[in-house]
Amino acid sequence: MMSDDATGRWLTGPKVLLQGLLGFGLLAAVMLASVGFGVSDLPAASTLRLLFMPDLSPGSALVWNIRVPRVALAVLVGTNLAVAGVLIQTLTRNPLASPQTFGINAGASLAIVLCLIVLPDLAGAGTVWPAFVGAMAVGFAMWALSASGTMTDTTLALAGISIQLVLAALVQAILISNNAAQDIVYWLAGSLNGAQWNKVWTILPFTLVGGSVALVASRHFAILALDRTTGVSLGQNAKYVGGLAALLIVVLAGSAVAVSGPIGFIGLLVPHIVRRIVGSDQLTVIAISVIAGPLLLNTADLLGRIVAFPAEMPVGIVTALIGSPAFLVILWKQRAR
Amino acid sequence: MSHGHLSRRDLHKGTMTAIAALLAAPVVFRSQIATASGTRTIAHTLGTTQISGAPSRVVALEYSFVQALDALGVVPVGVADDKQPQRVDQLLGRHIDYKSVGTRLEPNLELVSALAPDLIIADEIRHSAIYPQLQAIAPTIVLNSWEGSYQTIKDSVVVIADALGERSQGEKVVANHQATIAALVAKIPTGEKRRFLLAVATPDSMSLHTSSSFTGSVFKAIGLTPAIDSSDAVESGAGLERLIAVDPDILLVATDSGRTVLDQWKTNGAFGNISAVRSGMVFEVDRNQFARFRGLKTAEMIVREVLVKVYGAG
Repeated sequence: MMSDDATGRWLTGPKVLLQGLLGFGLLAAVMLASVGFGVSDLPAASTLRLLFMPDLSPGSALVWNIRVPRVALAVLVGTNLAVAGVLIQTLTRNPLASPQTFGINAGASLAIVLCLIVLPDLAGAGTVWPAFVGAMAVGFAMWALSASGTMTDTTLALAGISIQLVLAALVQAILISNNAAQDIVYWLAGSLNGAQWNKVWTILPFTLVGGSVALVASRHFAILALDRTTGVSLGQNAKYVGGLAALLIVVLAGSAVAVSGPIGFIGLLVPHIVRRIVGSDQLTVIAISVIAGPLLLNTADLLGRIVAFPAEMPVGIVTALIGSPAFLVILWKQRAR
Repeated sequence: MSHGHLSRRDLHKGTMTAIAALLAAPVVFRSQIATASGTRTIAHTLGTTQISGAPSRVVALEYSFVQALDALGVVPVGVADDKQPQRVDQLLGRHIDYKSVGTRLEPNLELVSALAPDLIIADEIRHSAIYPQLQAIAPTIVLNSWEGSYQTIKDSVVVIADALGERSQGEKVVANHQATIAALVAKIPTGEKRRFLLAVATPDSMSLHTSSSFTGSVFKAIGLTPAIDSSDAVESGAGLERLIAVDPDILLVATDSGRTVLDQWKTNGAFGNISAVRSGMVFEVDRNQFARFRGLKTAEMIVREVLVKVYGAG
């Protein structure tokens, strides 16, 4: 993928590089703050010392087994959701698309809730595979609908939102009929509270593979973003590229839901923010989203722990509280332009 | 969901005066019982309810009420059993025949009505909103079960007995229970200073039961120290860092079957720094018995289990 890239601008443009570095610096600062903050009476300065010079003390165990994996998990989940958001908005050519609004998160949630509540003995196998099955079912349905060519972008969006509403209702129905809502209310809101290393290892391969493929294949996705007839006339088999994008969305969003519950708004908001800053080049948007997604999710997680201290507000609620007004502002500014 | 959670706390605080009134109730009723050939006025957390005769078709919307009825020799016609009849078997230690009226969170009013009850016993936190509908079906008394402390549950037994026209029987049941507990408490070594915590493990976090929860107040009543002292019965959504900060000396983890966050945390390097883990004082206990049932028999069972698990004494 060299200079034949139709969209032209490159990741290495000095302005984009500067913006990337700035975002990276912000991310590092928020990550450090997040490691330094918690309900234990360990001073922030000691946590930072233990971060760079771990020892055998209980404080060190706390930093390295609870705080650091939480921050790492937020980075991976933030990456997955942001990249999945870019891809789904490209695939459906719809600015309102996200793993949440198109029901991918809800599909994964439904499958996990079924496993946890209705078949608790199956839950021993972990949440990743049920999450994939649920996300896959919805992802396949969306891909089939979009590839059928019978739907306009608007009807496709409505279909996605309908699927999301139905799945969310089914989750509610299962919880109410089992009186188990209290048990997984935190997980269902989207929470990083249960973060530890095994969850980091669970999602890491999917982030690495999914993120890399998304970057490498970004040129193809860029053509997908054009209208379908143009894509076909450029010699592109839109169905296969669309299928690859759908698969990546399912893998990225499904694994994120499996470790942290359905966190909304990251996938919707990050692509919009990033495009406003760096323009619409697909490779650049995906690359910067890999910084912006973790930055937004880590910030939201830290805020959730500060506002409800010493308890915590699940990060999914914080992203919704920040995300919905932010999204309205973006839409309003786009109209104004 | 979290909204509901907040509101039940608010409700809880807002009705502390009502509970205080309930605790004072025995004084009021002692004079009434003598003349109670016809109608009795039963004070409960949502007001007073007139009950005449001896109700025999009782619907119980919480497990603790079923246990209270059982102690008074009454088999309820309907129970909000979360559609888990095996829990009622476990609750009473025997099988009874009743009709399920759905979940405790959302009992099916049509099923309740179809049973033609002459007394309904409802929970303050879960059922306040449907009190008028319940009252329209049959005389209803509302008691705090979900976040009821040990004392509240004991008082409730007497109120329920009063509603059945068997007040003195209720007082006898409580007195017998006190004697049983006193005999058990005698087996606990004196000078116990360690801090006890009951934590309910859910799939992703733990709910920590404080001094004002049922089990926490049982701990207090038998001279043990709950690790968290709070007027909020349950601190939900606690992560591992919070559990480490509480640092209990004795940790009872209530689990259902299936995997919980305990399995996850056991593999976490920081888990070993909790005092209870270091001294081998972490015990898995049954969630129904320790966190769902609440009742006199349940309190006795909790004390027996603590004796066996913590002190190796039967």
